[in-house]
Amino acid sequence: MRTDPAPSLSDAELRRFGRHLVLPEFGIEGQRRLKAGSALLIGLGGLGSPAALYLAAAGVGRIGLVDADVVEETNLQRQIAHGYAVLGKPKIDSARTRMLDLNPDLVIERHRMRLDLENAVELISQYDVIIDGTDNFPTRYLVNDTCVKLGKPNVFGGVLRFDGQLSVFDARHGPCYRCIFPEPPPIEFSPNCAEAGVLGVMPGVIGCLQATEAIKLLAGIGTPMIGRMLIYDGLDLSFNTMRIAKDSDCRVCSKASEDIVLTETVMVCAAPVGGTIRAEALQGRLDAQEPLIIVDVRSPDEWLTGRIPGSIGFPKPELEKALAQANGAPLSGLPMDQDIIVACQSGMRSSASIKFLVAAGYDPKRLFNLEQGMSAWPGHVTF
Amino acid sequence: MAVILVPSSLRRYSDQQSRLSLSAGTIAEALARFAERSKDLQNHLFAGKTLRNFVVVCKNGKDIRLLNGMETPIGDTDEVQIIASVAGG
Ligand SMILES: [Zn+2]
Repeated sequence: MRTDPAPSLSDAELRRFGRHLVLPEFGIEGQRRLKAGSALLIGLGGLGSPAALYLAAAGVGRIGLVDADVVEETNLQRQIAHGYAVLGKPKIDSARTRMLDLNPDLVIERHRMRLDLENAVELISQYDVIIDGTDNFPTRYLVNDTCVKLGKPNVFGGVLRFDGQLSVFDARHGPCYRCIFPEPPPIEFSPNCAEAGVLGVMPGVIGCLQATEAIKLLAGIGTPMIGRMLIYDGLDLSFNTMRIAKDSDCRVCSKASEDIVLTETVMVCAAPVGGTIRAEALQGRLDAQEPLIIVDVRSPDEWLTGRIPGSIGFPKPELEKALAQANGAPLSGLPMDQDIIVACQSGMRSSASIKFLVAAGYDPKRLFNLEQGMSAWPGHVTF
Repeated sequence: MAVILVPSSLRRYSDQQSRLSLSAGTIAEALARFAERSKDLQNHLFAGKTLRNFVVVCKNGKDIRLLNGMETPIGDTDEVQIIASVAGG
């Protein structure tokens, strides 16, 4: 891809980047290309932390940072761009401080937001190289699809437990993320780092490799990881490079740019467990005053928009935590020998909650998902 | 015997082994052998008889979609790598 070299380097830059300048493959031209180049880092967590520091130190001229989160103590096991001194502060601010300390000539553009359907094209179009340091499947698919649409290279990294993966997805020259993984795994097969754990140094390794690939792309040196995927196994200490193929029927990169429509990726369960109940049927059972337990797994904020009368509020994350701690015993207020209706806004979180209830020992025959959730509830609500 | 390289997310099905030796003539046979170890694993790798689309399989470092898919022959010295999609960051 190669950016056009910037006109010149200052004396300070010539001093700072001396170790780059003596590399024959890189030299002053490579350094000037980096200075003229730009990179967008999406996510400043475990992957984005080291990537941000190395891109800054290496002399990439303009770096965009996208992250909506603030620094929390649990981040510090791996997110080394931040620290105790900045707990509670936005990650984009703490990363910026560290980056400018390494390279005061940098231009850093802060975007304190989550990447979404509304802002993805606008944000990604402003940069030469995109670095995917996100921590969830829906955002990764959005990064991929937008990069394909705009013809941008997507430096992909992913980690979980002791596994790491790296590739450069550039649909102009090779496969995209969807060619390899057309859809996210169902929820029950896709734990995140909070649930499954990750050795803190794993994203450090992969994030540094992402920075390396981004620098190579901007400087126009070496062979990028296009059409290959690195599989890093931290327990075995093995690095395997796999040759991966473009899918000629890929639902994104086989299309012309203007035909690519960005969509939201919704995480779903593989197979529904338990029964379902429609809103009218539930209303009927309530009218008949049947003994029913209704659990609303939405967040307390969402309860303010109205709840089914008599329902018990139990936000999904807390329900999951309580079930994990219950060791197979029934939770208080949720006996195992009565019908339980589980409701959320659309039926998605409630479906996932039912899986957790079944896994914790509840009888799937006594669990019912409210179809389409509160969005389809026509009856009375209480506040 | 061919070797299956197991990602850490699936090692609870391989007694925590990263490499499993088994005899099989094709990728399909090798994966079926591996999946026999548990119903959960079977369900993780396959939807009915089809390989799930969030699981990538390589033979000697090459995506089997570049080869002969599930019917790709494998021999004694071949490595079959299972790659599970990971999104953590
Ligand atoms: Zn594609």
